[in-house]
Amino acid sequence: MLEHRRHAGILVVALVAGLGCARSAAADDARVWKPLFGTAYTLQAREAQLGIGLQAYGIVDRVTIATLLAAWILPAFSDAFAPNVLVRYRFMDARRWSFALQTGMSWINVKDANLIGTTKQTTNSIIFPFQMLATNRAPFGLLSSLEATYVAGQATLQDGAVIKDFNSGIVASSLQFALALEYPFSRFVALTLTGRVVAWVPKGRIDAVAVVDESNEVRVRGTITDQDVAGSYNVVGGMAFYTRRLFSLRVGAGYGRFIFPTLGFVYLETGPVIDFAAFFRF
Amino acid sequence: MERVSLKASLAVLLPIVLLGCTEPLAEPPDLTERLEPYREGPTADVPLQEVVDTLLEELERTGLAGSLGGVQIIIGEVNDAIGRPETPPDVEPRTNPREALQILEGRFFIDLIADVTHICEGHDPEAEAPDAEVNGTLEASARITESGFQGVFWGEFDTCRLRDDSVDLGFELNTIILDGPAAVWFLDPLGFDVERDYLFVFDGLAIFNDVLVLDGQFDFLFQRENQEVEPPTRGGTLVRVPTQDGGQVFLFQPIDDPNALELRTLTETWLCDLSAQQCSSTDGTQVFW
Repeated sequence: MLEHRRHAGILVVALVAGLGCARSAAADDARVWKPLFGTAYTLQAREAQLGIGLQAYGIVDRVTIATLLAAWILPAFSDAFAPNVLVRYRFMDARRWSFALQTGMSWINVKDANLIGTTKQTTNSIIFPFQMLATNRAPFGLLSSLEATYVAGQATLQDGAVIKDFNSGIVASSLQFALALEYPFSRFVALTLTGRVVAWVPKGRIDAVAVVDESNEVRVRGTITDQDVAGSYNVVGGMAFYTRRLFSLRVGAGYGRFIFPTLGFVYLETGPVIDFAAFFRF
Repeated sequence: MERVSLKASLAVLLPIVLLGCTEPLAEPPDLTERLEPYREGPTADVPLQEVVDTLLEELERTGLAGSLGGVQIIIGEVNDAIGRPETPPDVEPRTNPREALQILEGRFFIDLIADVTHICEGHDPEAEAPDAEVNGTLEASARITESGFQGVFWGEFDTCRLRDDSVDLGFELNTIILDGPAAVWFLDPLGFDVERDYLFVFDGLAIFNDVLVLDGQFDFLFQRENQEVEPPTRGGTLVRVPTQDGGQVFLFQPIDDPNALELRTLTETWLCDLSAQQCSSTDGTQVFW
């Protein structure tokens, strides 16, 4: 028990204050390309990644903070606003393995959603992903990464258009697994293959209160499970191009449902899935 | 409308996420025993003259000219609230309950309870808004799953004060006060815009104009008109009346004729015309009062 507490203490200190642990020579070798996407790797201290996709910065060698910039600029194109932040802590390197924990938060605000009937509602969602990542680099260069993600989220929905006031809250979560493979067959090009599945969706909880008029108030509470989310999957194959430490481009295509890789929410339309990211590191 | 802030959302719902506590949902009461007598039918014979005499004595005791009229008002209130959809409002609600439920169909497993708090509206019409302290409340609940509404509304009147000035009973009825548990069991699959059979049960006190007219169990079965069954069912309200020997007879008031009343006993059915104050049996016997 004391050992667990000590580890937890180290984790908290590292996440909050950015004080890293001892550096692992093998894992922090700057000569080896370490993609962030789907792996347990982190940026080096004061290293930055900017571009289309995940924006990231290495606070120390083992702690990287990141955000999806596209979500911040949504208000320019829609009524949605989705500030978000992620923190990854690479807590262990052993031989060819690296292990990391990642968590974060995304707040999604949509002012004029149209979820029920024909009225416009205001929705607010908060998503907390808790991730465990493990990456293995085989002697012949193959990167294999496993990811387990527990996503806890809650959403509130308000509608005051017809009835006097309506507020609801939904708490939902899911357990997801992902496998990412990257095989470099030259210095600049690698083949990629990722698979992601929503393995388990526990019962969500709902609590809604509607003040219908001065005489009537209705409260609805209980559990709700979206049958369509459990079993959602996608498989995406593609290629990654990189100029070692400066520029990287990743393109891919596949089939399934788009599952937001870092925040974990699922887009329920099944069909082609496109993967695209391009960024500089410096 | 006040906007829910990030801070407030976190404060309220994050503990639920982290602790994962789920409050167990209340179960609806089992009303099978209360429905069974209606399936069984009349089990006693009561002379019509005795029923009339008892009724007149009751009217004399209450001084109201009508505990029966009061019962009719309760039935009317229940019907207005749940039995028959009212005329749609001029402005159609943009959030349609049917549309909202269709979103849930086939996609979600749900287990919900809806709790309704209704402040009774027997207040002075001059008052600006009903006051729960003065008028009492009705707290009612219903369970809903992915297959729909589970058929029973149940709850409790807490000194609930009603008033109905719209019914001409030949006397002034200012207030009805109900106090005690009640339930409604819809016997057919729910539709939003069709009449359906339902059983109403009430166990408590009913006070009309400060006179106690009911202290105990009261129930009635609302039957819709149904030409597709044999014999066809006439639409109306069936009220069970326990007899002193432990049996039961039924009073039936058809929905399409407020002046008609049937007394159904084990061996006889009396058809009464309330406006003419006369009843006649199937063998031609007539009773006047």
